[in-house]
Amino acid sequence: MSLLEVRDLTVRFGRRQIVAVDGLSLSLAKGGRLGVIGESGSGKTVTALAVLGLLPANAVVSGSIELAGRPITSLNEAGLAKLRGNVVSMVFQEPMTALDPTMRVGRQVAEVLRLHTSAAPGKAREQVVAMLNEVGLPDPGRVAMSYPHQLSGGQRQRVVMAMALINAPDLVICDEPTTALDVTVQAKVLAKLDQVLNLSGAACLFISHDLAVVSQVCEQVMVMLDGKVVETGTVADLFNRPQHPYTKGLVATSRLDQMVPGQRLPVVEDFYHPDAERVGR
Amino acid sequence: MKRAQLVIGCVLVGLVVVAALLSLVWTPFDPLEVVPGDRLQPPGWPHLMGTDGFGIDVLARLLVGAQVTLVVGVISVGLAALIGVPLGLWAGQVGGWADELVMRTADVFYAVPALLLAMLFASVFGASTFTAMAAIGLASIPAFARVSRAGTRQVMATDFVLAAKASGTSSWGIARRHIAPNIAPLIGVQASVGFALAILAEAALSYLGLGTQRPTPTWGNMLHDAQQYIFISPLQAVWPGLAIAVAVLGFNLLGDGLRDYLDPRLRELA
Amino acid sequence: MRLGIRIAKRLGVFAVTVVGASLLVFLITAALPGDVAEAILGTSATPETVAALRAQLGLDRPLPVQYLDWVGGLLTGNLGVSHLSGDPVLTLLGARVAVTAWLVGFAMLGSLLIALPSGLVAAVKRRSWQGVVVGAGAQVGMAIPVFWAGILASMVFAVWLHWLPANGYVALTKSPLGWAAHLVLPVLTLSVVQGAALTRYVRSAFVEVLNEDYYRTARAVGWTPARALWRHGLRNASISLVTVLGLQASSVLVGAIVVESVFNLPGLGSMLLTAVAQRDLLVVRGTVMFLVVVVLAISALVDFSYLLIDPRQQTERSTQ
Repeated sequence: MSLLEVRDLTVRFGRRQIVAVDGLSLSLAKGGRLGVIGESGSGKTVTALAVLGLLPANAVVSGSIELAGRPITSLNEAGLAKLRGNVVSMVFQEPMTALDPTMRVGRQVAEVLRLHTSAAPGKAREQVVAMLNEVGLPDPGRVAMSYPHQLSGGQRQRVVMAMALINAPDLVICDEPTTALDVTVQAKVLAKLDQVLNLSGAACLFISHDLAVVSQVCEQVMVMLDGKVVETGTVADLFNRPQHPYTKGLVATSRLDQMVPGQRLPVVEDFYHPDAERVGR
Repeated sequence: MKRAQLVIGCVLVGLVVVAALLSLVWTPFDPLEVVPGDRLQPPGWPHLMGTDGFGIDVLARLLVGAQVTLVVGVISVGLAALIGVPLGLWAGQVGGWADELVMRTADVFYAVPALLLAMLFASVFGASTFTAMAAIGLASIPAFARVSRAGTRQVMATDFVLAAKASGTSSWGIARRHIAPNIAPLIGVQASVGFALAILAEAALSYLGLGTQRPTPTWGNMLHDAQQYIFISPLQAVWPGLAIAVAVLGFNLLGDGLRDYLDPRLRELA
Repeated sequence: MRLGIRIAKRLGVFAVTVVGASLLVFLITAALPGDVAEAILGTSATPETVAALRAQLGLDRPLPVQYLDWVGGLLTGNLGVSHLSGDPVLTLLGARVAVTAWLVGFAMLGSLLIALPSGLVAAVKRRSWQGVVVGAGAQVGMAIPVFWAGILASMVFAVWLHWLPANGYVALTKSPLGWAAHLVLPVLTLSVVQGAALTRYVRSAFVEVLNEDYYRTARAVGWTPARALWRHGLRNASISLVTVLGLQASSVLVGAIVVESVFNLPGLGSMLLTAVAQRDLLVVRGTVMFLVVVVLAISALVDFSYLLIDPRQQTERSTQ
């Protein structure tokens, strides 16, 4: 039995019923990993928020989402709140703003722990420091006592990871977790994420616009375009035998090692033109 | 939704303006003549809102009261804008010590509200419409100075001002051509909100006897007179208050409506 | 150490504004072309008696001397003497300040008790009818003049229902129950009117938090909307709310002066009004100066409280 089963998910927004996600289906086994690739506005983040039941009030959802056997789309707010941070959690894109600036980060992590388990304050502190250590923060005791503005971007993102992982959730959703970071920090954070996920055995839905980043964490990849899934396969398949023209473009732009010096950089539009495609449909 | 604010605001303000204009040419009764036999009549015919303790028609006094309200509002807000806006422009454009000087002075005025200024004036000159206007006007200067300073600084940080400077436009030219048109809407909003505050302050001052003196009717002094009759003729204490609330609500809605209309980011938030 | 410099700087600003305010108060009452002595004595007075009173009030000396004299007095706690009763202004102030302080203190508390929950509701439910109702209520509340609210309150609760006294005051030491009964209506009046204005600020402060990423983070780890807003919202919103409370200090004080007059409370407001009517210049000047210093001190305290609420302030120069 799979951990996450999304069937025919469609999300529309607002009075004009703008379609953000269009008939998406996916399945993720316990401990499995799936990369979701697409440009901004392709419906990646909306899918993630739908799994958490965190879509804004003006969203209209149809289709079904089942997480660990529970139907997300028909749970009430209290039921959802019990799952969030416990069974499923999320690592957000902007580590600069994802943390409350007025609260020490250790306390912010500890509160997530104590919200879902009945850990005593002292015990919780120990666990928090251990978790901060696990996500690769040196001197975790000092970090726990810091405010967000005293930490670097990479450190903050690790704190956000710790918050997401502290209750050993079955599923961790990462929404462009490294996009806001420097390239050198990116690789370190990704390696750590990979390691921590392996350790805890949590499943992961990894969202990114960058094929190279996704390939560091995931084997299976799903390509989204205009709210639809256009292609699924292993990273190797995608790189070697891209089927959809959009995927071909994505691959070409991420294979800079194959570039001939002096040549113009490839862009996605060389392979896929949205307007032409629409006329074709 | 937001458009509704603007429309209601315009209607309420229009109501007050019409009342003031109407009272210039016509009132149902003489708003000043004392008629001892008609004291404290309940609302009915011919006194639609009844009469006060002197037998004067309340509606007539209410209409004339709108004149004082608007005159005090226009003059004190005009005074405040005339002094505050250039100061704010100057502070925002020059920055540094000029900014510091203007803003600290604004702090000082901020700490001495209109009511206290009016008391100081009244203790020297005696209370009058003039001292009330001067006090309200002076006390409203900081708000105008702050708004125009903030707007000016925003405009000064833009690339088109940089381009204008690079092409040798003088400070005066920049102020006239770039800053003034950009902060004019802000000043408009502030004027509307300031008008509402001026009405409230004028009413409070004349209620306390620190503003326009009898027999000239104002909504504030009408309420003061009505207070002693709340056992016998409670409605008398309702009409002038209602009039003040309508006028203040009108100008506040107008100001809010304008602000939301001008600020698309706010429209999304609301 | 930076913290110490910031505090010292703010204290400097406080001192400068106090000096500025004293100049303003002094110039209005001494330098403007109105003759107080003449005003006090009326038109029937002879030039000799006017001159005598001018000398008694110290109005015949050069302005800088008068000013320095007054400021020197302020620093040593000597605010001058009422030329009518002969009592020192400080004594008069002392006798009246408690009433006003109770009124202002309770009204501040009351307006917060009204504004925090209603602002929270208005923010969370801003897209449904509850939010619209709270917003409209606040807008109407802001348009109601505080003295009219007072008159209406005494009409309803004192004249019709006979629940509470319509006016007057009993000292706390004399009868705690009577004291409370006489304060209820004034405090209620002032709280409601101030609370309406405050509600709008609370609402926008919370709406800002709702749009923050850390609010979304809190939701994603399992907090319900209300609890997420309470835990993270209150602290973050309070940074902007404290500013508003500081700005409100002067409007609450003004409101209290007016409300005292509505309910006939023997506080600083009614003392000031009497002094103005009698042209008791030094009493007006001293009391106004006292109130202005209180307002300035509150706004300085507000700025210090930032340092406690917002950890960023302790290391960075500003939040921007």
